[in-house]
Amino acid sequence: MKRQIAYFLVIFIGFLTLIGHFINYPPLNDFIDNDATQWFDIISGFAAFLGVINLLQLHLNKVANKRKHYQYSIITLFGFIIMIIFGFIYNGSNVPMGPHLKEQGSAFYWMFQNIYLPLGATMFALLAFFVASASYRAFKIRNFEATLLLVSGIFLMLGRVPVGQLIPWWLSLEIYICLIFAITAGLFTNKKTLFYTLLISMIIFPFIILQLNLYQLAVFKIPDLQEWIMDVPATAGSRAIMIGIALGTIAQSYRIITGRERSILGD
Amino acid sequence: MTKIFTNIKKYLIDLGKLDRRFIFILIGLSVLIPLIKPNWINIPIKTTNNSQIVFNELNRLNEGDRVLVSFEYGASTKPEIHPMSVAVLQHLFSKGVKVYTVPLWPEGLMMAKYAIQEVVDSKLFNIKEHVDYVSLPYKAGGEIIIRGIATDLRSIFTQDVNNILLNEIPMMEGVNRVSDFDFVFDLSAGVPGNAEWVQFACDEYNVPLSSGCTSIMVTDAIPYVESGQIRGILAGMPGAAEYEQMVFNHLNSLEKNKYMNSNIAVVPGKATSRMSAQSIAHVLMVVFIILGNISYYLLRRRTE
Repeated sequence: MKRQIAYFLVIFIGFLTLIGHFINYPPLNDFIDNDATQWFDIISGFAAFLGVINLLQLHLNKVANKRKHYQYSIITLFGFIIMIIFGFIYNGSNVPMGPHLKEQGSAFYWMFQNIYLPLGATMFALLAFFVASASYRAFKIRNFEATLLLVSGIFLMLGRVPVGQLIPWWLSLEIYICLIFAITAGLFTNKKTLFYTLLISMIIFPFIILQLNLYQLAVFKIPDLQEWIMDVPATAGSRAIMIGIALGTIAQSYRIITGRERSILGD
Repeated sequence: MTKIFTNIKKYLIDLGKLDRRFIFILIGLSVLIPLIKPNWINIPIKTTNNSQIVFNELNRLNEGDRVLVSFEYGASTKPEIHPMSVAVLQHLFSKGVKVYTVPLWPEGLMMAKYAIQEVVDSKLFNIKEHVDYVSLPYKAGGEIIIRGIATDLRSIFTQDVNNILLNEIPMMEGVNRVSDFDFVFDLSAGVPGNAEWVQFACDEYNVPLSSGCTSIMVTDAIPYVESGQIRGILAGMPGAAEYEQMVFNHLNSLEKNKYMNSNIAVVPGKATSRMSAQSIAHVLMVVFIILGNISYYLLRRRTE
């Protein structure tokens, strides 16, 4: 019975909200635009409270049963209790409770400024080291798709930073020539022929481009090329993903409001 | 000769097994040195089209116009987003625009406070709370809060961040929903972010929106930029540096401005000096990738 009430509520509110977008009936529109959003606000407040209880329960259990890495749970609980004290009990400044959270001089502000902020920035900064190490090991020309990914990745990395402007047109041309040969290398049976053709192309083509006055083309400027990659292929890819997600959302929402999707209640 | 080539090959193959601590040290130095000594490497910054669009859109605003600035980033993304927050606020205050800040992330409240404080502390502008800017508090709910701002802001927020009733703040007079703002500027590092502002508020109510976000978010936001639903975008640290430079030039070009203290010198922002570090780190990563591929190719040939 409990579950049926929950399903009924989901289906009823789901249909009500959906219909409200298609029917111009002021009380219904008002419900969707104002009341429903306030309901959500209240529910999310309770959800946050439940999250806090759950976090405490989880880590207290871990410490009580001395499970693997329970020492980290002690640190989590310690941080949690300290912030609760500084947020709700101990102020440390002259302003009333509430606005003290953003008041310079309060204990909470001090913790945020001197503990949380540096720790958060440190965690994100570590990403640079791992990205460098991972790209060194995993960013390999294994097949055509991997080559495309690698090349566009390199162009974006260089094009997004000011140093990309300093790369001359002939260097970009040499990169293209190397790329074309990397892709077509399999067609050459003799490796010496491949090497000499590559060498000759790398010498001759810059002169041809220079003679034809084509060196000012955007394709030879890494920042412009980077912008093109972002504006055309990346936009196309993103749009395709967005349309896919939208269709998936419609299908999933339909399943939920017609009671077909039961996993939302933990079934 | 053959022996030399063989040795070079061997070294190149061995590079593939390079200890990652060595990579960490090099990356650390490549970031640290330009940050400590920014004058050593000075690369000019070229403005991209999207950053220019953002600048032009905000520059078109008039005195007394209302701009809602949404803060959706935290401590981890502060180095990337915060410089653009400060530059955007400087630009808006230099034009006498009324600024309303709203955090949609819990940490956004502090980020808004830091950004405003930085502008106030610079003493460059004659600004006062509740006269030139209002800070709204954080409310949980993400996109639902955006929806609430779009339809009835007063039902979501009754007080500002200092617990002062919105009805008692003169700047809040006539501000009831998103359409009462002349512009929305979103500073985001995730969800809710610029996409949610498009979907739940600005597109439906036809309020112009621009955004500044982290570099990795740009690919998700670019379809909205291309369709004009987001008017230009500041993409990560490079976008912040470009915008800082445009604002720096703009503030220096203003001869007499009643909103600015003429006796205070305009200083360039932080993102500009950080770009050298990012440039060197990117070049180093590209070099690592090339070396890694040479090693991979030679190793594959040897095993074949």
